[in-house]
Amino acid sequence: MSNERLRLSAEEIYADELKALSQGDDRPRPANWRLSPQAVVTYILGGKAADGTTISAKYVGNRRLIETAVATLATDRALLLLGLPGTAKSWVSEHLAAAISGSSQRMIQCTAGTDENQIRYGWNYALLLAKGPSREALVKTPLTRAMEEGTLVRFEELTRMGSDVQDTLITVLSEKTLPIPELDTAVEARRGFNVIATANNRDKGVNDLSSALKRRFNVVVLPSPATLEEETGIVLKRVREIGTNLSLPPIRPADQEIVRIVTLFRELREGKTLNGKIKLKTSTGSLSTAEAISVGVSAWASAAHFGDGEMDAVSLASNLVGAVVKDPVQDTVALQEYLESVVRTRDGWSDLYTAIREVL
Amino acid sequence: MDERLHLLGIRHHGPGSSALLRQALDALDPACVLVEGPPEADALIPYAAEEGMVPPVALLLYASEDSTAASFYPFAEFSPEWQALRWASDRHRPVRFIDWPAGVSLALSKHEDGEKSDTAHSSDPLDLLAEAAGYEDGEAFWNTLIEQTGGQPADAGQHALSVFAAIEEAMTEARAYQTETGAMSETETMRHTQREAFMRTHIRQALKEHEGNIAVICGAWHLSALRAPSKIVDDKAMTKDLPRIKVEATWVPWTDSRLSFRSGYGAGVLSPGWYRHLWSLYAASETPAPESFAAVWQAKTTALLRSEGYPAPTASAIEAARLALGLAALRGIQMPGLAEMREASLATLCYGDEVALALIQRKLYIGERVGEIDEHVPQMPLARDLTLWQKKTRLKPEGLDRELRLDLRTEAGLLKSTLLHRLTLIQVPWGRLVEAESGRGTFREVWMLRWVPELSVALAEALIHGVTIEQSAGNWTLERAQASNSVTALAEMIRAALVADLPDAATQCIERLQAAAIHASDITDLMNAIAPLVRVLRYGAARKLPEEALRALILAMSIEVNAGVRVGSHSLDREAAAARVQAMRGYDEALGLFADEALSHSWRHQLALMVEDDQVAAPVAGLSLRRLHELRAWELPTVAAAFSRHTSGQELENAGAFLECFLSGGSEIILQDHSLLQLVDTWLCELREEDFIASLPLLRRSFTGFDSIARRRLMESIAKGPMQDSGMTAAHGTAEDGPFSEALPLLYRILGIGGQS
Repeated sequence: MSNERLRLSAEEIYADELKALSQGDDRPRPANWRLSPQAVVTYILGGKAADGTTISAKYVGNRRLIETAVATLATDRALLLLGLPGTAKSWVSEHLAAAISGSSQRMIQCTAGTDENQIRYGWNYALLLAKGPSREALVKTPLTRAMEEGTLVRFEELTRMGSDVQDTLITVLSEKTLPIPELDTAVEARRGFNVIATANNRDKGVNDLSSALKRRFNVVVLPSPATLEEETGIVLKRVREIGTNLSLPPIRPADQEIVRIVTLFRELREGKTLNGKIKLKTSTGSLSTAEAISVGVSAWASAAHFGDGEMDAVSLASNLVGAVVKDPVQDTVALQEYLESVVRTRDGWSDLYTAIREVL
Repeated sequence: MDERLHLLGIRHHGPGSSALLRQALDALDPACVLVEGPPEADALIPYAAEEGMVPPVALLLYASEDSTAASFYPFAEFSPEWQALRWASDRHRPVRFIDWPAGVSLALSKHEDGEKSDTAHSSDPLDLLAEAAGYEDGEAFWNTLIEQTGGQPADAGQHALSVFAAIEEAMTEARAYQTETGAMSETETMRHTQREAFMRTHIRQALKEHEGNIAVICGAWHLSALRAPSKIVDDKAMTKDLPRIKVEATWVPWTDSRLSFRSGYGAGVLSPGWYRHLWSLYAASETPAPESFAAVWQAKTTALLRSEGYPAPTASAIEAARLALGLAALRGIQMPGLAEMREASLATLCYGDEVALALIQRKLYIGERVGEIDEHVPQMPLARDLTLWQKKTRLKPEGLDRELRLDLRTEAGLLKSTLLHRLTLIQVPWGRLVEAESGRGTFREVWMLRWVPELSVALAEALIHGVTIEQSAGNWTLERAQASNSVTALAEMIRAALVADLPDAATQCIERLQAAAIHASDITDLMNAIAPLVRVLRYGAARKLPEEALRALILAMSIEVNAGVRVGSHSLDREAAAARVQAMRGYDEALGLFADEALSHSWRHQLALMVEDDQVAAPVAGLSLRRLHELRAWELPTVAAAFSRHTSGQELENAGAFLECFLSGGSEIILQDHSLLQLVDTWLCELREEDFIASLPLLRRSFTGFDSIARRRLMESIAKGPMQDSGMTAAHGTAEDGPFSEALPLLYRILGIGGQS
């Protein structure tokens, strides 16, 4: 069975799990929710459904944070997921929408070019000219659809759009209604409507939320993985999933190599070695978990297609360098320093040392 | 032992435990209540019922002879022990403390130096039990235990009793297990056995004296040992030969922040602020709705955030309360716990920002209450005196840092200052003097106040010196003065005594200092002693002063200094010279303030002699010349001549030290007197290259004292080109400008201006 689509949505991949959870879920559900809040938490963090189906963990990390996020949505408050790049904000938001509304598709990708019409509603000008203003002449947006149907709508990278456009949301969030002054009417939100927004708090060139808007969100900050083990676990799992999904030719298990990737990322990110003994220069890139995952996947691809079917130092090296060196001057210096002071002397890393040096 | 005996194992300072205890007591209606606590404090129990007693308070037990040995038994209003005391007093039932005497525990802890004076074990065993049951903190466990009553008050008492029975059973198991595995050290086990022998003796006595039920309130750990059959003879033998010291007991105010530590009883509480909130829930006659329970807490959080300058609107407080309830529902608990409240505040009120929460968490979770003691409670005389003073000065003890600005020209300000200074003298540092005599105003003092319960102990310690604060401070100062021969220390004591308004003590200290000054051989010490005394004399007018005596003393000491300074400055080593220069600056300034013409004149004379005297250490000579110049005692040509004599042809080390002291402490001299700058310049130009390089660090050091503007001006005047003799008219050839410009960057670095590197 081959699927032509590059990527399946969360609710498609985990349809079985969602079904099993829904069937065995006898706890009260908020209006228009597909699952009870407890079942949503189980879906995100993994566990067992009532009929014994194993629910895989979608997010690895602090349970309390996810509980706060779900409870926020259950109290019909909008949820803002904040965090460094690559801390699974969009990932969590997608799965929350899939579990609660059954669809993660209702989404607005915010950019500097997003205008109010893409948030509120637009006009079908042909109809507008022919028949004058009417409800039929309105062009609906994901937001209006979500309000009418009582589902979740996601705003990706909320802070990337202009502050004035962001503020369109204020009335929607506090009054749960979207006025259409042209028609002297309004879109009234049905129960179950809510907003999940994601934003990262590190990137430059973003428009800060106005405090009026910020007040209307409950904010959950997703942290970087706390330990090497946790992060390695996340990277391993995602690399396997993505690789399988891309139908990459199978290679021999590469757990050891993944540990090396994560170790290198963490050390450069935090500016010191894991044992805290050596201080290092930090790189300009954020070196997030998400980037570690993509290094893992590309290393897999190069090992499978160009190597001998085993992820080794050579297949890692060029991908690692590409991920670390974002600024050709500063980052090269940081990486070189790291090479000489850490990689060269570390047991079993000499192959990586040689390989990276060749690339640099 | 007996059916009438009821053992109620509690969690120290646990509000949930308190609530259950009250229900159990109501159901048992005991004829006598026995509480884990030191029997020496029995006489103090009735005061717990007084109206003026506001927890947190503590029983202070201290050894009468040696006040360093002391222990506290703190009570918050939500402590089961406190509730037991109040319950009994409300119903006029006798209460007694049944732990081992504090006299024994203090004596033992003195014996076993190194071990803490903790009378109990480190963590509350009931918390371990809660942990084993899967609860994150001990209180959450109790919360569930209480909720199980299902709000039917009729059964509450029986339910509470069954909970206590279950606790006893579980703890008996736990203890048996721990004894088997030998987790406790031998001394620890020994101590427990001894304590329990005391407890059993008390219980036997109570059973003999009273007809009805006997309720014993103690840490859950001891339950099995109290229940176990034992022989009177054994207990007697166990308790007979223990060391014992005489102790005094009193009630003292306690603070929230100290409650959160461990002391006295083994278990400290994590969050008094939260426990108090919980207790308001349990203590209410009608259980409040979860909504109002969450709302009150979040409103408190909001108010605190606002006081820290965060926007925190009321609307967000409502949302925080809703989220807390939502989280509780999600986690399947009836009332939101501390974790739910915290996470809700974080997400709504702080926008996920931990920093904001960290700012208020001390006030929110720990609290800043300081207890109050009823005025009828017999206090030791010093504490009573302090209470009087506190009334008189309207200063209330508070547990958090508070800034106090005093204007000494007002009577109230002076009174407060006097009290704080006296307390400092008797080593009860309630206030820390942050700033005094700063700026021009000498009538201003800024104190940082913070009351910590240890101060009560310190107060008790000061008792040996006197029964009032004034007396104790005076006597203690005198005692220290008698023991000291150091001129500087004595001068400091005089100053301290004067600002503490203790003129008699000051006068006696002055006498001591006069005696000591005659024998003093070190001029530096004398100089250092004079400066603070002059300051008091000059600025201390806000207080009563033995002015004549003080003037006479300063005069005598100054004469001594003037007489000995020149010879005393011969061949000083580097460190001694540095100290001397420092002292001379202070002394010189002090003489200016003292304004005695004859004295100043003789000082100037000495300065001149020191510049002329070749044996005087170079730094001293440098400073002397500088002062002469500044005082306009010498004409410029004379200064220039002296300068060149001390620099040119001298060894680099001496010349450098001279130059450093001459230059440092103000840039005007070299900026305004072109001729002096020229002298420096000439000296530098004549140095051999290696000497020049060796002198660079020294030059840099000299110039760092100047501010950046002065350095820039200096640079500008140098950059104009090589120095010219005012008499010379012809400019140097332009050929020299080349190398000079090349050298400029280095010069900038030495002066520490401009340049990125």
